[in-house]
Amino acid sequence: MFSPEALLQQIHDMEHGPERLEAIAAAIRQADDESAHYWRIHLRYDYVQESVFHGDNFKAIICFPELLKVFDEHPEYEEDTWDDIMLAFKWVLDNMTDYYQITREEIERYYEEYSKRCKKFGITERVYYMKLADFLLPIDKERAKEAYDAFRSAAYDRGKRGAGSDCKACEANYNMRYSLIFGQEEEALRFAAPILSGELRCAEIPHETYSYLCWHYLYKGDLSEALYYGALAERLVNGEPEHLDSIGTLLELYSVTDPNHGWKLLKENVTQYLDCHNPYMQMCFATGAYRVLHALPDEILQDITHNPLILSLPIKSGSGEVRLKDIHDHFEKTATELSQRFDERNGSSYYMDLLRTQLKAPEEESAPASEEAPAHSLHGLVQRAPSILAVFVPEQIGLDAVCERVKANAPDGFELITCLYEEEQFFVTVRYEERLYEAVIVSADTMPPEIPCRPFNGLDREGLQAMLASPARYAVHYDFSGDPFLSYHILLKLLHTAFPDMAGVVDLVEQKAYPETWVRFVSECRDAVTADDLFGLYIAANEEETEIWITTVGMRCMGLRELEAAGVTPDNFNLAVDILCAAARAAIERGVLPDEGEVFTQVNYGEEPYEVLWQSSEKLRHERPEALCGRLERELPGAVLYIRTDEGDVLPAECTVFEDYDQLDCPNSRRNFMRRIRLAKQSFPLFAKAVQHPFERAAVRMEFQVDEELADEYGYSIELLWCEIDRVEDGRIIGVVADTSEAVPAVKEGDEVEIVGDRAAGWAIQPQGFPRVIYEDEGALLLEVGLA
Amino acid sequence: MRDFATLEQEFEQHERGTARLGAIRMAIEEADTAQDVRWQFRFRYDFVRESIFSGDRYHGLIRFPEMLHFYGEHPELAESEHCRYDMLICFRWIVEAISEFPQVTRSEAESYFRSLKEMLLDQGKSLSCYFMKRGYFYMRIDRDLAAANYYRFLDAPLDDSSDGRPLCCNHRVMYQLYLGNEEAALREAEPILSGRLRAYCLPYATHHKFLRFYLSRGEYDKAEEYARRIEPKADGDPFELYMIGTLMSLWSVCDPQHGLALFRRNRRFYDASENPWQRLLFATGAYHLLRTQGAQEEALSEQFLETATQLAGQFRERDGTDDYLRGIRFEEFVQV
Repeated sequence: MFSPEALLQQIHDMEHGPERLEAIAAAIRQADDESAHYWRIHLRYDYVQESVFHGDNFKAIICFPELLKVFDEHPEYEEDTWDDIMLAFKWVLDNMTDYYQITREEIERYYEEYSKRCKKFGITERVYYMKLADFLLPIDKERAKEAYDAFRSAAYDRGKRGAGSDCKACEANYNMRYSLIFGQEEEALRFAAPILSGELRCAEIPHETYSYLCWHYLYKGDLSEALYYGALAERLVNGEPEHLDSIGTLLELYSVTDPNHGWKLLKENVTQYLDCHNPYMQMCFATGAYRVLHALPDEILQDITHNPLILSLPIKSGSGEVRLKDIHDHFEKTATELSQRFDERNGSSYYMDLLRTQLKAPEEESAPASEEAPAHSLHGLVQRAPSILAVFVPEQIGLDAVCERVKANAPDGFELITCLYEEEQFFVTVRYEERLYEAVIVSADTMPPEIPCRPFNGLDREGLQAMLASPARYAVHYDFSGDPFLSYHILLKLLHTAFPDMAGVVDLVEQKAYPETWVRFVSECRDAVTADDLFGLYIAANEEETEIWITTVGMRCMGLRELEAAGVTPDNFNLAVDILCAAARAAIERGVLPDEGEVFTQVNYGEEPYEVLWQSSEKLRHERPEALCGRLERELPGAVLYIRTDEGDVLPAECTVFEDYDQLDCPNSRRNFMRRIRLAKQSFPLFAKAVQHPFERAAVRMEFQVDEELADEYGYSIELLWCEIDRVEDGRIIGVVADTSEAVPAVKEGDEVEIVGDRAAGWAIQPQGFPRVIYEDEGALLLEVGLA
Repeated sequence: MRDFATLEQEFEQHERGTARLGAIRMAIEEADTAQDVRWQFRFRYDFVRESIFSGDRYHGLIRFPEMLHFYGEHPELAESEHCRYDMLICFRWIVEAISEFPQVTRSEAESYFRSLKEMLLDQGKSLSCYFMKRGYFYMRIDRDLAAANYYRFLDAPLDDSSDGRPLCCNHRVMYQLYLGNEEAALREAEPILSGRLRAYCLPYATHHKFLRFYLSRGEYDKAEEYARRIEPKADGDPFELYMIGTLMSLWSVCDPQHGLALFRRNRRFYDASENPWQRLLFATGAYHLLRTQGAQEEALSEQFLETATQLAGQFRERDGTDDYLRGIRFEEFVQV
């Protein structure tokens, strides 16, 4: 019995991708058997859509002629479905050129058919010309230009613009692309502006915009711009099968800027490559992969890899290993063959010319302290730098044994891709939530005993000295990947698995030292990592100590420019540190530092908000050298903070506007707020256990439901109120409400409430004999290890 | 030159509903006289919004085609992100309202849906609200189209053009009840019934769906549970006549005297309403209730029967189904 509702429910319950595609195919067969013609059309459209947007569009190309046939055979459903058909037609036109197997004549026939149907259904031919230009571009640039001009000059009649039209974001992206192709960069950036500002976006934009700009600047030889757009694109396309072509572009980029990162990106996406049936995407990926491997020195190409992801490539390999040179040859052959086939189909040499293009290598590092101010505005995103940590262990242990230990104790959810001890190095790669995390660990006995660092998170100076005196030490090289909070959690989890008896770690980039207890805590509790854990502060002064220079250290590990506070004096030092840290937190939590001159966070002074922006230290050195701490040479380009006030822009040195320091508020972000709430709930059992013993003071921030009407008025439905813990009776924790809120008139200051963990949104405790109150993040750590 | 921003502030001081609609209408005339395109558009938007949220939707529906035409005639409006978005949101309200007005033919409705879809695609927005509203429109008309749109709605991502999560949740509840899946509906409704999700019309609209569902199954105890929750909200609200109608249908069985008091308090709103669907449900409920009073209310009962039958006939003509006609006969409405 054919039951479309049950089938649709079943399909809907599935994840997007191959499984769902197969389920839709099965539903199509049932609809065919039952001659349910409406559903035969509907389900085929779903199939095409699924293949285009959640796959490599191969099956869409196969299915579309059937869809068109069934649609034509049943004009009774034309009224209900023609706009769907024209949408599907457009997607197919968009993608059929990706298959060299489809001849040029066949594609041209499809274009004719599409044009005919546009006229029939009264649709503008803008889309026709738009797609035609894409088809013609690798064949004949002049004809592509004619089609593009026809698209631009086609009457923009709103009444006729309809089913099948690309959205505004896609059209803006298209205009940008063709302006670049025809050498109009200024015009292109004007078209791209609403996309780059976030005003225009859709399912594929800005992904494609970033990728194309990256590709354009890469081939133009402007690596700084290419890296910037590459960094933006990578966040959106990494791991997405429908963006395999963009990943190919990123690989090409990293082949000239950072082949190691390119190699990692290659491994992260090799599964998508192997599952891909789309020759164009395969060609793009293979080209990028070939370039990455080609950039490696010859001696490294002779190395072998045991990585099982790489071993799944169709390359003849010896027992569980393959030479990098063989992988290089495989991708070179694939890229060449596919480029040739596309060129044969198109009757041109477009793709082979691209493959033969020598990409411009980065120039010799220019002196950082150049007197010349940069000509154009600068980006906040920069190339990621590796994170380096030192692990201190009381007893020497061979890295081969560490390797075996990790193999035997891989944490839940970690898929060990590589766990290899070779040439005195321990390589470990884990896959977690579809992303790869890689670390290389080496013995570091030769590391100097004096390491510049400060103790944090429960470590005191004596503890630090003891830790640094540990006889065994190891250096860990790690690249952040994706979400830095998760990345750091995974790193520490990995380290705690490898060295469970460690004394602690020093983050050599951030110059911070952490005790084992904190490493264990973070490795167990993902929400325990805060933005403050992801950067450190480097502080220096001139000889007279009248000028101070403060800069973050560690932001570059997340691909963000280091932030500086210039013009700091002993008088405004605390203020500058607070503003700098607030700005760094905001950038880390959003994962983005906008371009120079764009507002990226604000600080409040009383009721008044002030915008925080940055300008490059290069420019500042040129324009206002007196603002910088003169003695110090900067090794890296920095982002110097300034604040926008009504009366002009000021640096911290001129922050007289903030003279009443108590009124300054650097607000935390919502992400941090939600993380703290999750952490409070998760760690509440520790608190509940602690208050069974005598304590100086304890309180819990409780969630109270706001009455429906008041919720509408106030715009929120849960109020958070602190409750002082009064007593514990038979295991029940009784608190007294410490505040009154107008949003919850039923609860008043002094009311008694039972404290329960699932309503806890924060907690604080001062155990008896402990010198101060501790909150849930630090408190959980200290209670866990019994320090408090 | 008149300061339209001040004018807007002035009419926002008026009581919501008829008074404010009248004031906005005058503001439209002033903006038309001044030929101030932005304000002409903005006041029309204000008018439609007021009619949708504080009216019976009738005036908004009447005004909308003119607003759409105006928007089309002034392409500079489409250049403004703000105006584009306002137009889209107005469209969303209207396509939801059209199911309540049988005067809007099916082909006119389809034309509206197509325009909404084009507008969404044009702005790179999710089709979520298109599938949601179209699925809702077809629930009484074509089960296949309702299902097809419902599952596309489920798959479509939410964005700023979509209804909020609470209304989407309510829509899922409605669909499950439409299929007769009580258990699934209760599961879907949990965030609304527990108070975690709320909106201006929620949880009452969800309660009303359950009330009608249980009433139609003759499960009066359960129906009464929901009736008690919505009655304080619906009683005395001129724009919740449909809820009053369903409540009267229930009280006709459970507590006719209570129902009569409710009827008397709310009849004046029925007389003033121009929304056929609201009037139909009220008239149906009133007929169910009044017929229990025998000869005493026979004439009035017949009067409501006649109105309900006439309105249900209009819906049958548009929708091609006689659900509402069958609903008038209580014994057919309640399938014990």
